[in-house]
Amino acid sequence: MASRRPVLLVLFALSSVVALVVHCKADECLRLSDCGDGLTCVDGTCVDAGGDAPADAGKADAGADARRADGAVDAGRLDANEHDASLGDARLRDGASADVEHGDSPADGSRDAHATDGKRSDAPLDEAGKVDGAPDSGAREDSGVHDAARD
Amino acid sequence: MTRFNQSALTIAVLAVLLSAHEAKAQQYLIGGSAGLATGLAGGGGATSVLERARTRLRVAVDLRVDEFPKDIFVVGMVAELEPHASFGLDLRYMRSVSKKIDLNVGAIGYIFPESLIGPVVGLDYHLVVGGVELVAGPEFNVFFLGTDLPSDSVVWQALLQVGVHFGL
Repeated sequence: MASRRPVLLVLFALSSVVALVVHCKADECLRLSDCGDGLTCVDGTCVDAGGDAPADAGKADAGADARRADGAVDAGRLDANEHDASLGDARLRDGASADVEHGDSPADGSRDAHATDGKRSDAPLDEAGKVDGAPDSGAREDSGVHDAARD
Repeated sequence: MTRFNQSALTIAVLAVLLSAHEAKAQQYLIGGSAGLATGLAGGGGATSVLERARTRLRVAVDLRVDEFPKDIFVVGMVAELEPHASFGLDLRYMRSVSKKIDLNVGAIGYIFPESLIGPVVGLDYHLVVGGVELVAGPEFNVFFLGTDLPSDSVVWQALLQVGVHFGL
């Protein structure tokens, strides 16, 4: 009878391990080798390291686009500021507001430009299409401001 | 010294030499064991994870001297079988605390395909069933070094090992 006790203890321990194992999640990782090729273990979960990089790259591109748009806006603002002395505060305000809209959403900017100023609408439309090219946008903005000035 | 005395001395020396028992030399006792283990593994960094430990096969050779039979040194080869394979070694000092129970402490390290190193403590319960010496017991490992660890992470394993032990 006494010799059965260790066997029962071992069986109990085995069944306990099996019961615990059944309740464990299978998609978690503890070690880097728990994850497949191209995956890495981060905070207990396998994540696609290669997949994250393009996603980040996309965000970086988006950020770069935003920066380019900001650059265009800045260029426009600079141009507007350059014309500030000659054209006055009203021209500067119009030019700056149009540039900001182009930076955020070229289409919206163009619609606003159409709605506010018929002559100036051509220049902001072109600028919106070439928002990446800061010098061009600045030149277009110059023409737009001059058109507005002629108005 | 007379010839008689010389002969008597020679006979006496020979008698002593022939009657003396051969000194018993120190003997090494070698044994082997093989066992399967599985259980729970946990750890992680900021997020703690608990999962089933990999199934492990361990084949070991133990060495003891008959003059100190309670002190046992063990060298083992460990291989994780599933769900991912790896291979490693362990070195342990085992101490018999009774006829059936051994405690062991040492270091275990997986070296292929990635490395994982840490201390190990365990208990072996020996049970002879039908002439076969069965060994079973818990084992606890902690891994804090190696290329298989995510950054800022420690992995532990609580295993139950079942196997056989035999003399070599």
